[in-house]
Amino acid sequence: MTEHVVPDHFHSAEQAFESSKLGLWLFLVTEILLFGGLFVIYIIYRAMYPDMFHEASRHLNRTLGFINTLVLICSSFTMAMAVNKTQNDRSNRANQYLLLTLMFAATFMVIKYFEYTHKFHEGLLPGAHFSFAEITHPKADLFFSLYFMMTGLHGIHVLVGIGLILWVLVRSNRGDFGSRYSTPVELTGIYWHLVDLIWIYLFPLLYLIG
Amino acid sequence: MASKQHNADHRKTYFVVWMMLLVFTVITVWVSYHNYGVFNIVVAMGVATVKATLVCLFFMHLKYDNRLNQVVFVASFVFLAIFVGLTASDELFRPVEAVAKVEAVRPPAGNQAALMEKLRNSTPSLIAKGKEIYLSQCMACHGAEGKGNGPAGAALNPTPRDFTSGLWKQGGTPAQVFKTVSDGMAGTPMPPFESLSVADRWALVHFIRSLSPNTPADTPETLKLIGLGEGVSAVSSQALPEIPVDFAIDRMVKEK
Repeated sequence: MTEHVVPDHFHSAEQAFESSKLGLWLFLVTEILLFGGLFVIYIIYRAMYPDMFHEASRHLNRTLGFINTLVLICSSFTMAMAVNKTQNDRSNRANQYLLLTLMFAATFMVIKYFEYTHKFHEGLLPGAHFSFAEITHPKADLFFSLYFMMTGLHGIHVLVGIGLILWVLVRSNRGDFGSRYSTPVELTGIYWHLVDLIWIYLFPLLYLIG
Repeated sequence: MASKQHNADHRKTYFVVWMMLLVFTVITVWVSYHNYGVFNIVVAMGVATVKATLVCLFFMHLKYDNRLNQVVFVASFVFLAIFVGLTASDELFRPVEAVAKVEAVRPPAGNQAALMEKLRNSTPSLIAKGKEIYLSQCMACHGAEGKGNGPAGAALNPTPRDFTSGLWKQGGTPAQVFKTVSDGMAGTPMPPFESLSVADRWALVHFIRSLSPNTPADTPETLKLIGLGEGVSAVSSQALPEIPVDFAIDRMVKEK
């Protein structure tokens, strides 16, 4: 077990933690606005081609999207529990919850993989690669450009999250965290909840309201 | 920092929030299978916002965080609301742009384009008709069998085309042959046959091509030669291009 040392430029562990957390919140603000740009593109194209969005969104797999939403919500819960257990000095339980979170995250990516390969197979692709005969609207490729851009960017965030959780799990397993110091676990948790939060909007926008 | 009791309360909260999120997800999916018109969007976005708020307040601990972090994070949603809200208020409530159906944008003679479209497909009767015209108009130079060896062609330079060779100087697609028959071939004795009707010229094209072993099909490029194909053709009123008024006027000015 390595004891965490508070850097010299902070008065206290409390201040160090609060500074880190403020930094993370600021980062999340930029994330919200990053996805905000995509939401604005979504609104503009949807206003231009409402019928096309209606038709194209029917070709997304609603069941898989639904399952993935449940999976991410569960992963958010297990993540919150992992943070809680870490603060209570119950590292073993925390590790179990972190492992569960990882498994949920991996499940999400596996389901996403099957969704993507199915789309590739059908020719439901962005831009000039679009080759799907059942949708006749000439601009249908726009919907799939947006679909892949939005879910792809979100998927990258999930992958980053998986990396972070793995890192936190390794350190937690080493005994780095406890009630005295749990900053990485908490911040990874907050980031992970944001990934969930973004999906909460992506799911209805792309899969449900056609 | 936090008491045991406090943390136990948190766990209970997490569990309740988790259950609520699952229930809300089921609700929003269930609603999506029913058609309530505009309320589908309202419900879907409303439920998503409730879920997002729950995640923020309890999972992300924003409810218990210090005021600075709360202000920072909520501010991002204020800006997002401005960004999304103003865009939506513009895009969703625009008057439907007037769509012009301007006759002048169509090819000069709409009926002629339709006729061309119909005649450019070879039929046995067209070929038979073409043979008659060929024997009266073309045989003298191109020969009775189309070998380019007609009595009047012997003295010509270059010699008339042997249609059975499969070679074409200006291309062998229907549109290209039609253009050659109509306009003739500059620099050769091949004259234009504009005096023949469009239907007669097409009949000729199909007969001539029936002699050749090399009969490529038309592409959008070759169709443009005869004023058909992408961007030019509007055979039926259904296929009329829908373009805004100012753009149509622009096009008309350019055409005149």
